[in-house]
Amino acid sequence: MTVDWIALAGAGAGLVSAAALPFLSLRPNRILAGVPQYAMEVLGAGSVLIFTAAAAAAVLAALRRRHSGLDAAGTLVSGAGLASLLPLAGAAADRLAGDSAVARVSAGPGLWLAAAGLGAALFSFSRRLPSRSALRLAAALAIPAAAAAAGLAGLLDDLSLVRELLSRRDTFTAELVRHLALAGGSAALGAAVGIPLGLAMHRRPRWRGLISVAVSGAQVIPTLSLLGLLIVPMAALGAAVPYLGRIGVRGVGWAPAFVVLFLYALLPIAGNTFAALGAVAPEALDAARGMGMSRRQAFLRVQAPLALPVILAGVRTAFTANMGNAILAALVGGGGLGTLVFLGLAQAAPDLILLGALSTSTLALAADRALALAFRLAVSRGLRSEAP
Amino acid sequence: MIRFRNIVKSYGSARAVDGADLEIAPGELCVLIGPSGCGKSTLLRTANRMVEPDSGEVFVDGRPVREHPPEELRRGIGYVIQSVGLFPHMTVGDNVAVVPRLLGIDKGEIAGRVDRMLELVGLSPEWSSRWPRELSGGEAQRVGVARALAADPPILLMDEPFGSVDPLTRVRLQREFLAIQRRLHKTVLFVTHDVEEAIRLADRIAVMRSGRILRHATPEEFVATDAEDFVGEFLGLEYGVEILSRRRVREVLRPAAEIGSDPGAPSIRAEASLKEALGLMAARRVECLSVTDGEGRRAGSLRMEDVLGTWKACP
Amino acid sequence: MNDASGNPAAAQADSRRLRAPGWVFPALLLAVLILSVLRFDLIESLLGIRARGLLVSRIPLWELALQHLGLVAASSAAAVPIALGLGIAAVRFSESGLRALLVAAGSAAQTFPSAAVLALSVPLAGFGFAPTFLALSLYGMLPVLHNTIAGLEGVPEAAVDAARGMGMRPRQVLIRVQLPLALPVILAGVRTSVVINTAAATLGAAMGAGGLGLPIISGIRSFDPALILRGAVPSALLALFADASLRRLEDRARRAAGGKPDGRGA
Repeated sequence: MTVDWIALAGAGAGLVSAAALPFLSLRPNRILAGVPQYAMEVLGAGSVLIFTAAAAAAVLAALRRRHSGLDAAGTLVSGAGLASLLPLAGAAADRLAGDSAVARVSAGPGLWLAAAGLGAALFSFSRRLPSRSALRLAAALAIPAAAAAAGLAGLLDDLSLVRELLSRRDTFTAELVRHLALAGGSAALGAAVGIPLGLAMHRRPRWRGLISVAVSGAQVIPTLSLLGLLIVPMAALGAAVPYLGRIGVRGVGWAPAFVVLFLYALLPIAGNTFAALGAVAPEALDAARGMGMSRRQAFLRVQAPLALPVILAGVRTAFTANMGNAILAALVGGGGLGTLVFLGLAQAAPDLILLGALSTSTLALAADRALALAFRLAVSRGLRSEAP
Repeated sequence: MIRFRNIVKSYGSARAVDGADLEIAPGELCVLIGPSGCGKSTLLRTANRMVEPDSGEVFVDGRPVREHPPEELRRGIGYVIQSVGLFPHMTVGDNVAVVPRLLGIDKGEIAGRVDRMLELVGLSPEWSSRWPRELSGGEAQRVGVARALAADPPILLMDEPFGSVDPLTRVRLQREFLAIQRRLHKTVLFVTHDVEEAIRLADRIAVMRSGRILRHATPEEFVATDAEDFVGEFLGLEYGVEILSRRRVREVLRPAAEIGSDPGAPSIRAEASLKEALGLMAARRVECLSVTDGEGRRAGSLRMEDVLGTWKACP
Repeated sequence: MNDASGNPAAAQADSRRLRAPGWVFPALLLAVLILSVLRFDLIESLLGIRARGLLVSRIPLWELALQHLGLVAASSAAAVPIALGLGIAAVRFSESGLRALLVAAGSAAQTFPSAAVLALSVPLAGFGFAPTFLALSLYGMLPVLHNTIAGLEGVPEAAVDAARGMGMRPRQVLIRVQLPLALPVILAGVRTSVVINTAAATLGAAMGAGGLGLPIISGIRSFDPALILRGAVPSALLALFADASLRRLEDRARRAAGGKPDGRGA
């Protein structure tokens, strides 16, 4: 048993920053500078809850040396502290904003750092619990559940980010759908073309050099530069083929963005497929052929299933990266959540930037986790590593 | 049952197999032994067309193998390799069932057969649902043998099948395999570079060097013609054998008290050379000799592992 | 500066395959890059186009290129040592849970798009050089951190054991055995970091940090293909040059660590 230094440092830093740094920031309207608000002033009794949770987590972390079995208690305390941050902040924002429709209350560094510190403590405590323990699962679900419950109860309506979202609900939904279509569609097309391309590379050594140069080259050239370089040929293509012009293939709009995202997805997927097929253990293939499988059978029953985890990992990376890179589509008028980001940058409206960037990051993270889970189910249990 | 006629196979300018002739009778276990790189694996792989010879012909049941489509040929020949090559994405049961499924045998029949095969190699039917990554080296080798036997092929090709496990497990697997072979009487071509393994298993031994079969005979025949030659040809492949002829049995024997008596063991004089002793063991297919002193009294026992151990320990 | 001369076996292998020395390709890229920055009019007259607009007359291309280079250099100079230190600490004190925390946080942060990190730094640090520098430094740490941990953990157990058995102290084992053997992998992380930052720095233009992204974004807004090319061509060349030259460094380290001189993979 040793002191849990990570949890101690996290909970301690969380306590200090929640107490000493501005917890919220109040702006009379969207553009004006914020006035710092401290936790002890605006949270009232709630601040006691947070301070107690952080202090208790720090004490539990330090006491680990003497008493085993404190990890569960630490998980509970730091999880409770973390889960209560957002509802408490929302309630405080409601009081601060009062009746003003234009006043904005946003999170201050105290809130962010308290969340980060308690999060680190929670991670460190729960890491040592058995992997399937109910407490660990509850801790993982409690935080999003608390946030969602507070949101549905209208408690968060006065936080500036939520105000921004509510005032643009329709645009947000439309851009979200567009973002998903652009990123998901290009990645799906990238997989549909990239996997056969990787297979062809595996079968025909002659193409390998060329494609591997293209793969590494396209990953090196900046996305924005590639996007810029594509504008001229796309415009020419749209002009030359009237049908393509009618469906929106122009120098600006969704077409160049889609092509860039497609290329970014295509090349890693093809590269991974090629590498995965080549990395299949030769003795498994030897055994398959030696037992009388035809080439086709050996490919379908042995080589492809064995290569599948790596191929799917490439697809997952491509989907995740595309969810993020699709921000840039807004620069060429292609729409998506980047529209909010660049509008926010142009208007110097931090809330709008935050809304666009945070929702994009959440999408990328969600895509990554969801595909990890789905692909895990698709892979034979004999090939799975223990951790998800 | 299997006949190799004047097989030649080159890779680039190197001749892996250089005119090899070999015949294996039905139900016989032939061990093909030789130093690494002598072409023994290549020769074995011509029998199921994993390697196509440049010239020469392989016959199985009197028919040239090139007249069979390779896949059909292979489904009728069991195949076990050193790295086992279990498919990691299939359970143990599915691995064993691969060839029966390729042959289109019906499901109920396959399930029963998988259990019987696992039992045959000393694993209970519960093993069927495990994954290859959960197996130890020895267990994986057993599954490999079960998989090769699953379609009940009359012929088995085994390429150093017990080569990648520790020595104790290897001896156990060899004994178990010998017991299986005594029941099933498969025609087996077994490649190894382990002298002990060859002596323990072989009905006939084929010694191979530089792509050719130097000698092919029963262990008894090796000894009957000239014991010196046997050991020389046989062991001289990889190691210096001088040391064995200079060492005497009395130097390594175990006192009778240490291991107890074994009345059935052939006897040898304590003054005989270790080379002679090894020849006798090979001829009688035993791993233990009873040692007598100059007056014919029992002086102790000599075990094969001690002979080979002494000799391997020498520089 | 053909470093193959220090290693006879490698030199022989190189000459047998009749390959151009490794530095030729990066040097060529650098030459074309400098030429394109100083004399972009040559490329324009080659294509028969000419960029218009205020931007062209007000800020010379070389100044934008230097801004870009400065951003990448400053952020890498901040990111690499910090990430290296964190990675070493993570491996040395892995029982404390630091490694687990950094790996979990790092892989989650890696799914964050670089554009989002850049945009998020604006509310924190305002407009201009500061938010771009901040975002690039943070984002650039991730590959170095990841590869430092992977590289140190990939050092053969036997080498570490032997070093300890010879009486080296933990610090000596780290400096004389682990770091040199992990260097190729760490440098691959540095390369990835620099290449990602070179690309992300083009977006700095949208945060008011200037750089080669400026002509691209202005060109897209005014639909002026020639202006776009003024930024896109040099920035692509810069990224390719950074990648090629750092690969070269990586090969050297790999050879010094006793591996094969092959920059692919990792």
